Amino acid sequence: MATATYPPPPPYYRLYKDYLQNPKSAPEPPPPIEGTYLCFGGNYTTDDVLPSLEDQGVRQLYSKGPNIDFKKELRSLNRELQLHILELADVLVERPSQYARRVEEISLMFKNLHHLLNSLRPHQARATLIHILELQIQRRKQALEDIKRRREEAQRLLKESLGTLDGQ
Amino acid sequence: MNPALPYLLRVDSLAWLGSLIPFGITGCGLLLTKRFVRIFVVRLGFAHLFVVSSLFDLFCEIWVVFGFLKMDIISQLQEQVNSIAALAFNTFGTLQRDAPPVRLSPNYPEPPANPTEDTANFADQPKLMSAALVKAAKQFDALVAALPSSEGGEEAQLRRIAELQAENDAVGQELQKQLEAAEKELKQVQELFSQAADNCLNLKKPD
Repeated sequence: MATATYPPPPPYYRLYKDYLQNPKSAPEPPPPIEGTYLCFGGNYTTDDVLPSLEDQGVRQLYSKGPNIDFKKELRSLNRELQLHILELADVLVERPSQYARRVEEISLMFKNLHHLLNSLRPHQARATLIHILELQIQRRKQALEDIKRRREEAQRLLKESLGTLDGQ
Repeated sequence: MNPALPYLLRVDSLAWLGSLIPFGITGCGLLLTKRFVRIFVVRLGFAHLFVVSSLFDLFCEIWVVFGFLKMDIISQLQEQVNSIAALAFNTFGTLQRDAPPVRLSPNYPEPPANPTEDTANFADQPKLMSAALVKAAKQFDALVAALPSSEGGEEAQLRRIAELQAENDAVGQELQKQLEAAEKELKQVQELFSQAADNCLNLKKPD
């Protein structure tokens, strides 16, 4: 990949010479990329999904399964974390040279906690979407009622004025 | 009870915005949470940017702590987990650093007990710190209890979204129809009114 301090514009600008007169004479913009793409030397992917713990090489402590009860798992993870902290304190008092294993276990618990919380985010996103849709439906119904009411009032006024004009 | 309400960001009072100006920053706009957006500062040098961004962080922490801005529940949970971690390593670090020397075996003499003010205050450090840790853990449990229960699962949510979309489309079309009818009537009335006004003008002949 060539680099320059002030790079010139890409050479295909010449293709757009007659764009103002005829928008169809120039090529279409490229379609959106799918899958993985290369950007400034880094690989990015368009499919944003939370990588599972095993992919990151971290043991998963909470139970797997299709529907996880988040509250229960979070609470039990919290309790285990507290127990591990207590264990670390004990180890430091009695056998100070064996702290490494305990510290590792504590960091494992934290990783699990954070992964669990991150996996709640898609659920939150969908719930927010549902909430927004409901609000929008409510606003539209309100506007609909408003318009109907005003139309009826206008009709009534017209009939009234017709009546007064005829009465003359 | 709307299941999504606990998830949403609630801003309780935005009246604090005016007090941001004293740092001599121009073109500054405070946006909702420091996690999502940063201040974009205009006409300041790099060093000022650093100071401002850390001051801004401090301001946001104060703002969050005093409850003017509530984060959504999951961010609060994440913050709580991080604070438990911070408390844990601060506890161990402080206790290890400040603990007074202790007698290891009867062969060695008693260590010199310097009655400095450190040792006097140190006695209740373990108690205070462990109390803080337990309090943080309890707060985490309270936050977990405040989570909305995930009724159904992904499919149930997706089905609800599809339902709501269909309903939204229907209501939207109804609205469109009513709007067009109303605009037509408005045009008619304007026509008639201008005709009536013309007739009025034509009838009123000067004497």
